[in-house]
Amino acid sequence: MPTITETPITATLLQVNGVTIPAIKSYKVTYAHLWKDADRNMNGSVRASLIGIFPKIEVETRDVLTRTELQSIYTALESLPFYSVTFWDPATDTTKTADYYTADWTAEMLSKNRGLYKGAKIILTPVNKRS
Amino acid sequence: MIPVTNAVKNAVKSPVKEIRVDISWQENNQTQTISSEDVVISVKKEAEGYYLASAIRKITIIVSGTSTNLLGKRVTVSPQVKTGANTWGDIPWGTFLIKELSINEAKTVTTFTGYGAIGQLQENEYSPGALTFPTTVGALAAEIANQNNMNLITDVTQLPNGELPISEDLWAKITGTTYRDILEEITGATGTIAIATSGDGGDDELEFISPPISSASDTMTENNLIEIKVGEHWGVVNSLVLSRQPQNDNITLADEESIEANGRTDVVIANNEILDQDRETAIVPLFAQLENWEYQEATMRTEGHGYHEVGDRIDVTIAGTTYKTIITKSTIILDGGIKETLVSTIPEKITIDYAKSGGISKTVYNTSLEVDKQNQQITSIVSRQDITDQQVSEQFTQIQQDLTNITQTVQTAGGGNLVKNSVGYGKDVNGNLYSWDYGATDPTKVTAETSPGSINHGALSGNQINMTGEATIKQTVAVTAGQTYTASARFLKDIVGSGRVKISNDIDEFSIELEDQTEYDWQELSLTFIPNMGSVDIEIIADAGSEFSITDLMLAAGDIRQPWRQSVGEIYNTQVSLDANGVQVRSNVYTGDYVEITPLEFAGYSTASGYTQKVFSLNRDTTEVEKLKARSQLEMEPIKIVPIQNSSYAGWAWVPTGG
Repeated sequence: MPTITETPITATLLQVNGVTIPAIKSYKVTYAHLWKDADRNMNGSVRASLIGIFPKIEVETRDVLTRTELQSIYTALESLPFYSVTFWDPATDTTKTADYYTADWTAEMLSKNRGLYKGAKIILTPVNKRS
Repeated sequence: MIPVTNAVKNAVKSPVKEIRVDISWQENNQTQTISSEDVVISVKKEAEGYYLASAIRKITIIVSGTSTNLLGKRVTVSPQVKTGANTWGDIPWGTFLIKELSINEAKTVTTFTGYGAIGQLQENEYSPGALTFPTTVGALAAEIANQNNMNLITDVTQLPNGELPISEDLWAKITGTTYRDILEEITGATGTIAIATSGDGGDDELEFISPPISSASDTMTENNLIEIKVGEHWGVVNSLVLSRQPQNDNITLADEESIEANGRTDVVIANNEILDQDRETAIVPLFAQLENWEYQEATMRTEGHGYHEVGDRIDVTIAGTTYKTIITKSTIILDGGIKETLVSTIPEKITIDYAKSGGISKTVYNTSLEVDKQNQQITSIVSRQDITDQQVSEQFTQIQQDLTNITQTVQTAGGGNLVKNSVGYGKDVNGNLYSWDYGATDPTKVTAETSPGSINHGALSGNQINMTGEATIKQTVAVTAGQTYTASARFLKDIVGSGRVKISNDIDEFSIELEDQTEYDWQELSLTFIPNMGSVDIEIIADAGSEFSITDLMLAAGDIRQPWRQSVGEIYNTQVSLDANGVQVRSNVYTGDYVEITPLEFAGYSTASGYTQKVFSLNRDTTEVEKLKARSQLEMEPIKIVPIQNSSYAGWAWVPTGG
């Protein structure tokens, strides 16, 4: 199997309200297409209006988080109903900033004695369509 | 059609598209804009209009948050469709004046409602003197546009009757006339539809569209439609009727060959003040304009175009058949996507009786002089007719002159009731109803009384006749043979028993039936009929074992039920009766007491003794009284009687007069 190499991405992958999300294990951007009034015409062909493309971000941290790391995630995500997110946009190969909100996320304890938590999975949904 | 580029047309007809909408207005000399990119949740445009009338447009804008910033503003609404990677094409919907807002605190949204320029014309009441007369139809259209800050983009002088002169202000004495009313008189005179569109500079433009439209503004196939319902075909137009109502004065221009080949399709224009000046001249170019007009009734849900307007002709091809449609109504919703419904409504079919005529649904003013040379008769009428919700009320004066007679008629609002003493206000000393023939009926089986219960159900007279079966009362009414009449009344009846109001003569018999086993709670029933003789007997009949009450009995000419009125020459209310029998004034303190002035005497009646008794009368030179009370003197020369009352004695003193 040939080895594929490319210039490394040196930029920070994800910052929420200026706080860097730590210990990211996986990073995924889904470009969600939102449609309205999708129907088929009398010839059976699709007719629909595209409302926009909404880059949804899913990150997973490594399997174990320290108390400090978990607290920094909480501070970033729970401060406001929605927040400014700076993220690495694979489509443009640049860093973008936009407003996002999040659904539920879970802080699950791994070891009380060692002060460790299980890794977290965070899904960030954009407020606006991609400009 | 709203002017759009081909790129816009192609984009909205693409399988997928992106739509957004900008709303802008001026505030403090600055342009403010909101859009679907920020606070605008949805925009809905509704438009409706018909030929020979005008089209009105309404906009409903829902924005997030609670705000009043658009209220009172003239907003420009501009949907846009994405035509390229970074290009958007405009679909200019024009301007709307925001008149209403509602705030939903729970959802935190605000809804604004506004109307296009013609909606504003509807609110601007015309004042005499605002326009200059004499003028022409074309100049009048220009002046209306100018006074309402609109640019007239149609050369009205090139339309049928566009240069028809208007010698004086035809609307000066018609209260409540709006500029839209006058605009619709112009559309009637020119055979057009008036629409307001958005001009290049953002000002409203007034356009008159003429049918039949020679070419379609757009075509559609199954590719452009989500669904379609195709209805009736209308046309070809081959008859034009200019009608004056209510005197049923029609003139018609028709193409008999076309009628023979295609069947008759009429266009009726009633009570157009402009055309009424000279109908014989005006009908010719108007008929040339409207002749051969035809189109199809249809309702279409499109893929969402946004640029069609009321008045547009769209040719729709379905399964190889092309239907010509004219848009009379459109609804477009932009809420991220686009939903569009277009309706092509055909005119209501009106059956014209060429001896009489019909088809009015508003207040109609008429002043006309009809000359019938054939019958050597002249009839002049000044009238006002109001039609609302199946009821008609009419005021008119009419003078009819023939070789031997001049007949003058004055009818007050509501029309004359041909039935005298129709609700039983007029009663004689025995309680029998004036004007009604009892025949063999026991008079005690027919009574009359005040009727507050019927008023609660919408009756107008406030008095009722009670019938206990078996009983019949009758009166004869003069009518015109061959003319339409309508009888109506309200009834109260328990479930048991039957009865009727029967209208008959030697040839005809009609009736309003009260069914056994049916309850009537002051329900109104009516009957329209055409008598074949010059009189009818109207009978109120209660069958054996039945009891019912009747009020608001009305019989009048015409085929529309009229509100109850008294007969000509009658003034009846709870306290006073004035009719051919005289004047009766009833006490509202002592039940059954009254005084009356009749052709025979002046008399008073009282029930003070326990029964109705004549207690005084003045008959020629004799006055009779039951009881007489003088406070200080009785005198008949040469003697008078005066009272004496002091500490020693009390009594009467008979003394000479003059002392």
